[in-house]
Amino acid sequence: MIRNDRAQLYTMEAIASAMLLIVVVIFVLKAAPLTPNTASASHMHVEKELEMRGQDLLTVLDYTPSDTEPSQLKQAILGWTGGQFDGQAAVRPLGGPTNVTANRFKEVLGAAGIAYNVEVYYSTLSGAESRAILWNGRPSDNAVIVSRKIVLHDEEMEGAAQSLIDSIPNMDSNSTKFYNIVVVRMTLWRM
Amino acid sequence: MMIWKPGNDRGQVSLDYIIGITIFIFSFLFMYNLLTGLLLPFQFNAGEVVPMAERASTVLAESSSGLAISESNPNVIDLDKAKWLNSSLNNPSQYNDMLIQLGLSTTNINYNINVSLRHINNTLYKNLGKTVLNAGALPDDYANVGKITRVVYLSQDSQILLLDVRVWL
Repeated sequence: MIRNDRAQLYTMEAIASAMLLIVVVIFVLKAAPLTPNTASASHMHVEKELEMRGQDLLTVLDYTPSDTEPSQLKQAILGWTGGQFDGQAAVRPLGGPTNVTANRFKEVLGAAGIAYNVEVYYSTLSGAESRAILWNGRPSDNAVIVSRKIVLHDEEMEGAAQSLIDSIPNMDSNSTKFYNIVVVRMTLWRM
Repeated sequence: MMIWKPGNDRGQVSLDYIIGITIFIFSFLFMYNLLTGLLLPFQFNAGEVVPMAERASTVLAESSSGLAISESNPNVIDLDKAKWLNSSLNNPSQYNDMLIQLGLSTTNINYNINVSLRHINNTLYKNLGKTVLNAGALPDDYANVGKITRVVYLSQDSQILLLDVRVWL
């Protein structure tokens, strides 16, 4: 080997490079669950977290403290004039309970970096229809949907705007106090 | 650019090298995708603390034996129950009993818990100048902590708050 002037020690370098490769592989394995785009268990956890937060918020907003006053979520529907509001901070000078509820969405979801669409689904005489209350654009592929059903009664709709009565009809004329069922559907995704 | 020389009899051209390294990189990416999904479920405690935190948070937020005012009103919590939970989790003689009640303690395995009640902006919720609920053990720096945040409504104060539940081994 005296004639060989190559500055490479095969065995030592092989071991060194093997170690380097193993360390890199271990590092990559440890780092992988942190990337938001891999379909890993932690990504499912993020979706679960979104679902939980949205469902909790709807549950909390639909709490009826007393018999005389409907829940905040129902008040928001009753005070709604049927128009769509765009943008995360869409709290227009409408005043009233729709605004209060929109503010709650903004505080609990918007401030935590969660984008959301709020839509209502309801029956009409010609089939189910939907309309957006708050619209922040097309959701991403990893969006989750939560929903809550709200039953509307005749006497609750007495103070509602004419435009709302025009879009959400009374489903059984005036034979019972039942008016319609509204499904509040919320789509949530990480921004 | 490989230029053919009459004296060169090597069977490798640049193109072979490109193809070889491409296959190598693709196989590496494939292994990366495969192995990350493959090993995660077998890591000790990797996904276990989160369901445990979820279980504890469900009991606390939705059950009347937790903080809820009644079974029919999940996520609506009672101030007195929150104060009671705070004092029992901060009392070392009652801490273990609370763990058993929340299903976090068996003969083989003992989890730890930390519960806090916060405003939406993450500051601790205070009532009459006193922190209502910030109780339990504190995780050390390297613990694998499972955290679940529930949105709750405090009926006495008409406020939407966050209930943070942390569980670790």
